[in-house]
Amino acid sequence: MKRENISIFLLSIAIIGFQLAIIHLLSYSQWHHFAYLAVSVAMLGFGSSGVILAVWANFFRKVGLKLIPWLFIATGLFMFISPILLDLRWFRFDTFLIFTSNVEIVKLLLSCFILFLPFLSGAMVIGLFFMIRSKDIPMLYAWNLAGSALGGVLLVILANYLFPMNLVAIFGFWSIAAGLVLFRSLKVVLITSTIAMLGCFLLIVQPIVPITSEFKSLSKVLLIPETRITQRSSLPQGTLEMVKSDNLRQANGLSLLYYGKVPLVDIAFLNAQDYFAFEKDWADSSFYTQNLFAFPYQLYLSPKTLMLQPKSTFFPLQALLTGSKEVTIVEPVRPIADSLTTYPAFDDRVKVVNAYPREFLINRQQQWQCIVFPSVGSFGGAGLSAIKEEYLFTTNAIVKAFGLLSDGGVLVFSSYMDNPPRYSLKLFSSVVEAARLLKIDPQDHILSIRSWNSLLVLLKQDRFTFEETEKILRFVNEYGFDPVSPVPVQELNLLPDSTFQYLANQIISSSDVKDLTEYPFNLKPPSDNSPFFSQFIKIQRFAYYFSWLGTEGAPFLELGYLIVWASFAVCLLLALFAIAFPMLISLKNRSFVIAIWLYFSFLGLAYMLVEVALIQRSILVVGNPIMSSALIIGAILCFSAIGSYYSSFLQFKKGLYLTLSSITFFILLLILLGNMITSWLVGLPFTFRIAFLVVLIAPLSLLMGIVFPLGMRYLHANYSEQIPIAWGVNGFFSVLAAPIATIIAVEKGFSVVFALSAMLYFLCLPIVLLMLRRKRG
Amino acid sequence: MRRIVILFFLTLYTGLALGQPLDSYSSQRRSMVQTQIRNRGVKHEETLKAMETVQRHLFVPSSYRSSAYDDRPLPIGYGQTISQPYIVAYMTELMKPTKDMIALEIGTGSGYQAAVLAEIVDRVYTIEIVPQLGTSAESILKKQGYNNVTVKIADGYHGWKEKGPFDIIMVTAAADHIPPPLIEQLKEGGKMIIPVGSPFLVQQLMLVEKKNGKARTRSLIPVRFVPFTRSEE
Repeated sequence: MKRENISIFLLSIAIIGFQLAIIHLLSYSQWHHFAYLAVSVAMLGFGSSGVILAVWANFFRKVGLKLIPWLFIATGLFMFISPILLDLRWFRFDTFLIFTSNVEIVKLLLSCFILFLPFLSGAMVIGLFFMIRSKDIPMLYAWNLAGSALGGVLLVILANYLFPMNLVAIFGFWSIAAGLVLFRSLKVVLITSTIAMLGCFLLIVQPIVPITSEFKSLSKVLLIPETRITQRSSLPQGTLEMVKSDNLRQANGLSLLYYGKVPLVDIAFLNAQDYFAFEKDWADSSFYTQNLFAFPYQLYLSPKTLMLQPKSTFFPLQALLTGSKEVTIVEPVRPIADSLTTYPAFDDRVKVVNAYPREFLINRQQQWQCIVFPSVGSFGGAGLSAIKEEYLFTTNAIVKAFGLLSDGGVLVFSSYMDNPPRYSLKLFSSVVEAARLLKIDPQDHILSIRSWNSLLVLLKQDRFTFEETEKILRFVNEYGFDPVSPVPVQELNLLPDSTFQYLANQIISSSDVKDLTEYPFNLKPPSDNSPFFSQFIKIQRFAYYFSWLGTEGAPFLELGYLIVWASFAVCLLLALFAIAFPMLISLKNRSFVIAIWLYFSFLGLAYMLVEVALIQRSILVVGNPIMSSALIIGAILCFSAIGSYYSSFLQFKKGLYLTLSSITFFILLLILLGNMITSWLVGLPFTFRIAFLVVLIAPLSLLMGIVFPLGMRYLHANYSEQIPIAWGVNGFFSVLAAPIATIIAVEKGFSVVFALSAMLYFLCLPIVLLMLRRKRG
Repeated sequence: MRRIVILFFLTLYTGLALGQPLDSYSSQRRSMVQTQIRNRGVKHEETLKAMETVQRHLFVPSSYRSSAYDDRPLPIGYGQTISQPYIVAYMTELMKPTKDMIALEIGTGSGYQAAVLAEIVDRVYTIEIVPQLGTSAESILKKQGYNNVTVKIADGYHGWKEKGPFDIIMVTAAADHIPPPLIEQLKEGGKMIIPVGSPFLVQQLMLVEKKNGKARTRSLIPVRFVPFTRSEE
């Protein structure tokens, strides 16, 4: 085995591990939306390296071999220092402030540049190898992809033990180790490896925690006196921190007629966002009964209740104190599930299951009288979950849960009342849409009431009886709540205007509501094809939002989706600056082969579209975005590596025709059978689920791995001067693909993202024909 | 002759100094009331007069004094802010304060809101949990001659039962629910204004009125306040 192959393999592990660790890090310090930015910056590094190699090709051909080991070291050092630099106040940007301060935009660009450097130098190494050993490209590419796949797996394992900053630095040392393989001087190897080992040891024993955005809930809660973090652990889902305080209380849905004690809570934060509240005292049962969410338990004597990711011990306690004979809690984060198992207020009526709620709903045989969904949104909202895939609130999930109700059972939904109404109305419209999908009349099966700050929506298996409607009227009168549907008879808790009530009436009474299309916010019920519950922005209303709220106010209305657009703008700017302009300069002395440009740009775009859409779609199967990213990136790259290796045995023309047609076919299959396959996978045990997912995406990944090196091989034989340009143009479109995929998924759904990628691969067929004709000509 | 010249200049300077307005920010304040408050629809005359009288620049840290009358909140330390002038006026107007009323304020902060209320009502009780802020606000209020304001360093969540019930309760820090003790301490017919919602993001400004022993609420506008601090019971 050649030293070069081993070092490229090790470096690839480091690059992909670093990329995923950066996603981890930004999810903690900022928001998980930056995952797409991290992917784009990585691609930018790869694209830009191709351009640099193209512009100074002669220079690099001369010094390339000597330069490579030092570039490995540089990559490692850049990786090592980048999280430290990102944490410095000169570079540390804040998501919210990007829209209010130009300084923050500059800081964001500088942060992107800091992250770009390790990818650039890492990709330079790979590009130099490609340039110097161009006839071995398929083999080198295979080692590169295999290393990348292993990097993904390693990240998932290490994330159980190490915090994001430590993870990032560890992969830096890994890159240095990759470079050491190439050094022949024992002295250099010994010195560098000793320093690297020492650094690694220090990083493991001394966890570093990055500074979080001042707008994240952890930063805010730590401002409250005598509030402290008592425990911190690293999980594949992110960093979990337990915050203890003698000052925190939560009381959603509480009647204003309640004058008793409100229990104190400790809160668990996941990636610096409030995740689960543990009540510290529970003596006063009227706190639980004089509450909007107590109503479902008035319908039954002693129901069997299922709580899906309840976010607080309040809800299971309420179910117990109002007479539930059995409460099953589904909680996906293991340490939280463990804490619930030993929670002192729970007796043997409580059963805790460590699983993702949507996964739990599949293939269940038991039935429940009450199935309680977690509360959605936050008061006033901030759109921070806008592009978060929320598979528990899709109409498919509601329909599935409905099937698990026993006779006369009820699904329970709740939301904060927001202004202007978005979460509340989207929840309402989703439940109504699910009822229509179930072919039941929403007006007979849905009942909704609200307090001054919360909304409760019930979807009942059979019709609400007259007695039950009477019961609800008595309940709202007794505790000062308001009915929403079916009959809004009183209004104790006045809203700023009649929008909420008017649109709620419209939604339930008609399936085709014109007012909803005119409403400035998107209230379309989410489905598994586009599971973005918290996305309310309509692109065509951007100008309206900014004129209404101003540049500073708009982010507080809806931030996530704006970030995707901002990321797209940043990526475009950086790609133009780092790839397109230098490439245009380098073109002065080269021929312009449009077919080559098109071929490699389509491949760059299509490959990333498939990858990003598969990551988002697979969250339903594996549970969370970070796991999904690691698994899909790892699997796709691993099989692409095999494809790349296999490509060296294929004939260019026949190989490409067959491969491109097969890729198009497999993607079309994915569109047609995607939902069915996902439902089947989610019903399997976790290990089988992962295994089958990998097996299912293997053929497509393998084929996608063939087309790039096969094209490169063709260039090597016929247009060798175009290789760096092909590399660059491929990188340019890969950079833009991540935000483009997200925007299309939000607007049109995953099937359209897949359809677009299928079309791009299919269009490569006539382009190949063009390339061949030109050669003949 | 020399003495006469010195005396002349001294007299001139003294005259000029005496002729200067005592408060050099008064024109900025008048402009603030006109452009930021009156033009946005605040009509309550007592509120407008109070906003024009209270010297806001004395309630902000010296480094922010030149921005004191800007249309925005300003940091006052300890993660707290002094609210935007319009929000102070808007909240005050909603209370419809009169000179015979007793008011409770939760979250003294800089003391500015207490001073505005003190210009109108009979007595203001204000509670601050951060000792440094409470002490500083008390000293500024005293220097400004607001003898009808009493500052207490304590947890505002529990109100001030001994001094209640109150005609007005004004909460100037965000809570995720309306504290039951505050509803209890509200007089029949009294009004409370409170920013409620997730203390970490955007809150909703709520008006609570107590009628026939029952609290009724009205949701007003979205706002952002710092978290409502609560101390150990």
